[in-house]
Amino acid sequence: MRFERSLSISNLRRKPVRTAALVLLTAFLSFAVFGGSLLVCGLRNGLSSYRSRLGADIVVIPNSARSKGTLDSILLQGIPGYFYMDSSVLDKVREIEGVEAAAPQFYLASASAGCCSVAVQIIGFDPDSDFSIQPWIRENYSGDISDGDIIVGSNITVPANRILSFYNTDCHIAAQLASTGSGLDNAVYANMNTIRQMMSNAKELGFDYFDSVPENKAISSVMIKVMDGYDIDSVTNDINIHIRRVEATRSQNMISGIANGLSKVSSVIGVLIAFIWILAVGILMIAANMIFNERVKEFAILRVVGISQKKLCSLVSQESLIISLAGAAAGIGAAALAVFPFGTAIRHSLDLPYLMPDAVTVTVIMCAAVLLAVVSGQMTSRISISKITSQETGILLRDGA
Amino acid sequence: MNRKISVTEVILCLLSVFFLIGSISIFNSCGPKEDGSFMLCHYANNVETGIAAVLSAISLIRIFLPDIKVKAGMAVSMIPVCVLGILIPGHLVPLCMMKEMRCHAVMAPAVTVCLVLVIAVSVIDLFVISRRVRK
Repeated sequence: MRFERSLSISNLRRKPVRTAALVLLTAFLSFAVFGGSLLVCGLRNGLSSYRSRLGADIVVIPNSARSKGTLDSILLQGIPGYFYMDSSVLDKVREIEGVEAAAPQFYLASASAGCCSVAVQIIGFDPDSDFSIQPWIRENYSGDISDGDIIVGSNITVPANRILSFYNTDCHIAAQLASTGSGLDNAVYANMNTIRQMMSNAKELGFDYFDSVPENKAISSVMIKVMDGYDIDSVTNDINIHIRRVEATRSQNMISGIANGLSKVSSVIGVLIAFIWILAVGILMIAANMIFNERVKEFAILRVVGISQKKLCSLVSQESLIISLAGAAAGIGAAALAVFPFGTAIRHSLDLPYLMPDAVTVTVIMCAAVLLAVVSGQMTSRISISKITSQETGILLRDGA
Repeated sequence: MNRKISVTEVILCLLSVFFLIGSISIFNSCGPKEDGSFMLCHYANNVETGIAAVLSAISLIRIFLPDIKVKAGMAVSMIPVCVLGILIPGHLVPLCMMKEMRCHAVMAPAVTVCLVLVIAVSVIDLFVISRRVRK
């Protein structure tokens, strides 16, 4: 075994260009499999995290929200936006049959915050009635969210003094949430009193966001949980029929658009991975055939000096294993350098929720990529060598000379 | 004395020059604010450009140097410069507030990837040089 290994290494070292070309080809295959699978997993993780964060059956927003920047662009892409309706809508919604719980939310886009020329989405909630934001805030922060406290999404850098100022309202950062891979990571969360204070300060500073709605009576959306036994679509229709100038949407419908986009992107990536894999295996097969045909005389001499057919196969197999492992390491390394550091840029360019898979999933994908590279290498080398070993040594010597 | 130019030396030089060009074009920092003033990440980007210029100069000069031991010394000197470059965005010089902004999403990761590659090639180059010295 030791002899075979040292002979394989010597063979590979003696032909550095050939070895480098084969390693490069295997690296390309591993890059595609590892990088592509990470992307698909990241997109699936993002969707499932986004779905779990929405937490409501129905979302009610004012009709004007459609033209002012929709709720999904705020929640999904993190584009700051605002729209308001009168808080009386909340009472009307609560009177609709089948509504188990209804909680208001407030959206306010900050002016440029702190050091940067970028606006931040501020989302306010009523701690007494909220059922959609607080459960996942509790996953990271178990304390009270007092007046003047804010919880920031994972994409916001926390300053050393933990104070951020919005519309002259100094807010203390109580906690930072874990990443969701969606626009929710760009938001700041505050309770009703804090956001009312910001709204009032914004109005004093001359920001006229509230149209004709008095800022102390303005709400942006109502999140609804439907009672068990009631049809969500019927409740949605009831709200749309009975309450004027609002639009009720099933949260599932908001997600279905994203899910469709995600499924298209996943399919394209899946097809690309399969195509690259078939292409790489085909090229590896042709390369192995050409290389082994060149080495026919070398194999014949090894047979003449007493190396058995089995040992010859093992020698070729070891060469292929070394190439596969080196290629897989290079490909996986390159994919890791492309996918992990640029996760935010990828999410931004895809415009879909994207959340990096956990360490266990990454390890599983990595092992699968290595396995695929090794199996492909072994398969191509075994097929090519079996053609040569099936012939008589004398014929090989004569043909190879 | 050995005047042979190795592949790793050339790759190192190309990577450093790419880092220099990238830091002022492909992966530069966020643009100016509406009032024309710059955000903090602009200054981090300026320092990175300076570091890229130093790395490019070192890697270019060492190609033409005949003494293999001086080449090795210069390759070693590039490693701490790269570590400094990796630590600048977000650690030694703060970046913008939102992690979705260009400085966080593009500049910092690109700087890290480029400099990690420069460190890796420098180490391989040192290995190549040590083998040549042994011969």
